[in-house]
Amino acid sequence: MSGQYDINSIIDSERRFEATNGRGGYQWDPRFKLGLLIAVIILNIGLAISWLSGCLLLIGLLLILWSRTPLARTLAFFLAPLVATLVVVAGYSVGFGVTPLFQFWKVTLYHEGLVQGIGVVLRVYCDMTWLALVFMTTPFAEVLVALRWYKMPEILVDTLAMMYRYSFLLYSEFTRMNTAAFSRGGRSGKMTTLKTVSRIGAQIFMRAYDRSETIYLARLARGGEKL
Amino acid sequence: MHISEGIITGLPAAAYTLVGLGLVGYGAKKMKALANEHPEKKPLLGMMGAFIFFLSLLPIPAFTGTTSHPCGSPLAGILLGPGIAIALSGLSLLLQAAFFAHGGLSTWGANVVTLGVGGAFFGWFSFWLARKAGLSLFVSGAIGGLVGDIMTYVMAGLSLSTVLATGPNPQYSWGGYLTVIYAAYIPTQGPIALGEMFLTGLILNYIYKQRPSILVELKVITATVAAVLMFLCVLPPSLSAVESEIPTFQETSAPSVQITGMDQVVNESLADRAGLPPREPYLNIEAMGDLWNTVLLLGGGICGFIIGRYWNHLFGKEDERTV
Repeated sequence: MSGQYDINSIIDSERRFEATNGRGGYQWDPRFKLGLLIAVIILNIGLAISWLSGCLLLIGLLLILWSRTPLARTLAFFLAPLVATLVVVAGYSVGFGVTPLFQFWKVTLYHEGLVQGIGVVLRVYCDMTWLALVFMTTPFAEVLVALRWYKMPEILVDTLAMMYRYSFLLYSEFTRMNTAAFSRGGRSGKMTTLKTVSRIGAQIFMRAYDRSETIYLARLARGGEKL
Repeated sequence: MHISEGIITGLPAAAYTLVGLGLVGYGAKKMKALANEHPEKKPLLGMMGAFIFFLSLLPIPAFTGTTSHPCGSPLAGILLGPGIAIALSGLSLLLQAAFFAHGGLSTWGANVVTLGVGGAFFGWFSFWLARKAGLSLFVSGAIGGLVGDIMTYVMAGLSLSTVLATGPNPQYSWGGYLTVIYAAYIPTQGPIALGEMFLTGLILNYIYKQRPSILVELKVITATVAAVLMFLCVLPPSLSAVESEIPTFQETSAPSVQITGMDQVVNESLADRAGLPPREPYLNIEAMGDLWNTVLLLGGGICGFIIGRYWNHLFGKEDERTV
């Protein structure tokens, strides 16, 4: 999980909305989408019925195809949990069940465990599909409005908004400083790398700290904060 | 460190979500209290949340030929306190689930427990204990980072093994699943824990060296401690070696034994046997005490200055020497 985290690639839902003239999930109200997401998760995880998870997965996939969400980012949602899910399937197959299917040396695969593992795959990808559908088709500003409508505490919504804005900025600052350090031999060994990364991390922290004061004064000057 | 979406189901998922909401709610109360008391610190909460999110993206060497990412929550707990750090970790997990498919919404509660309680709380607590024990900022930070990181995986292992052991047709006991999970964690997460240990200690140390006032404002260290540490940093090493007031050896009823040196024990006794008793020294250095040390120090300083001033004459290349 390394690479460039550009805010433009994260919030491309707005551009996509313009490009697709608002197809599929782009047209729906964000509050409805969030509510639908929570309902799907409750049904999927709460009931944990494999055929239900499969149906919800299928519906989610069809909606994603209809909405024409960005392909690369959507695939990322499916690739991210892949390794962990495969490990879980392997673990379930070996660790659960009474009916042996296959034996290799001292490792036995069980029928019931494999069925449970497949159930896990369906549940994981059902949730991932709906997460991709909602967050690919909803600009984050609208997600925040929906969270406020759902009575999420104001302090948390404000903090979330600021986190969203500045996380990527801090990471891009880190990337610039890291590249500069790399070009000057700051990553010539493991301990050197750790020291370099720590120094840069400390600098990022101090910049964030100073920036928070500047933000407060800017908001105060524009009437966004009470004296 | 994140438990993937869909792994935990049914009642455990609901229970973890409720616990997570409770912890984040408690943290939100702390945040609100801070924002009401110090409105100028409200943006700081957002920036710190962004910093925690950024920390979880930081690539550190995993000592196994790859890079991985620290938890970040131990450092957040040390800097902001466990309550606020738990809430910010919860928000960070939401962003990670929404934009990077890292973790999930159904396992959000379990991840808040592992990262928030395991990482932030235990990281802060071990840092606090280490500082109380008188350890330095770097060592305390390192201990906080290490313990917080390890406890994150301990809590994750406990969560997962509980879920697996209570599932249908389990092959192993709870302890058996726990053993397998920890055995799988150790080779991969052990090096990351070491990396986070150094990262946390070094970051705290660098912040302290550059801007100790930040740590004082965040109450990581007190103003008194900062002043003392700064004073010790500028004090010459020879003067900072103060005699300890706590005696390391206590004499009881045994009479005091006079400790003599080689001169008295060997040389003087040999001289007495040869019929040549020792005479008083021409220059009684011992009686001079600190005055002699001062003379040596001054002499060394003057000689060093002269050697430094004429270094090129003594050791430089021929064309650098001036006639």
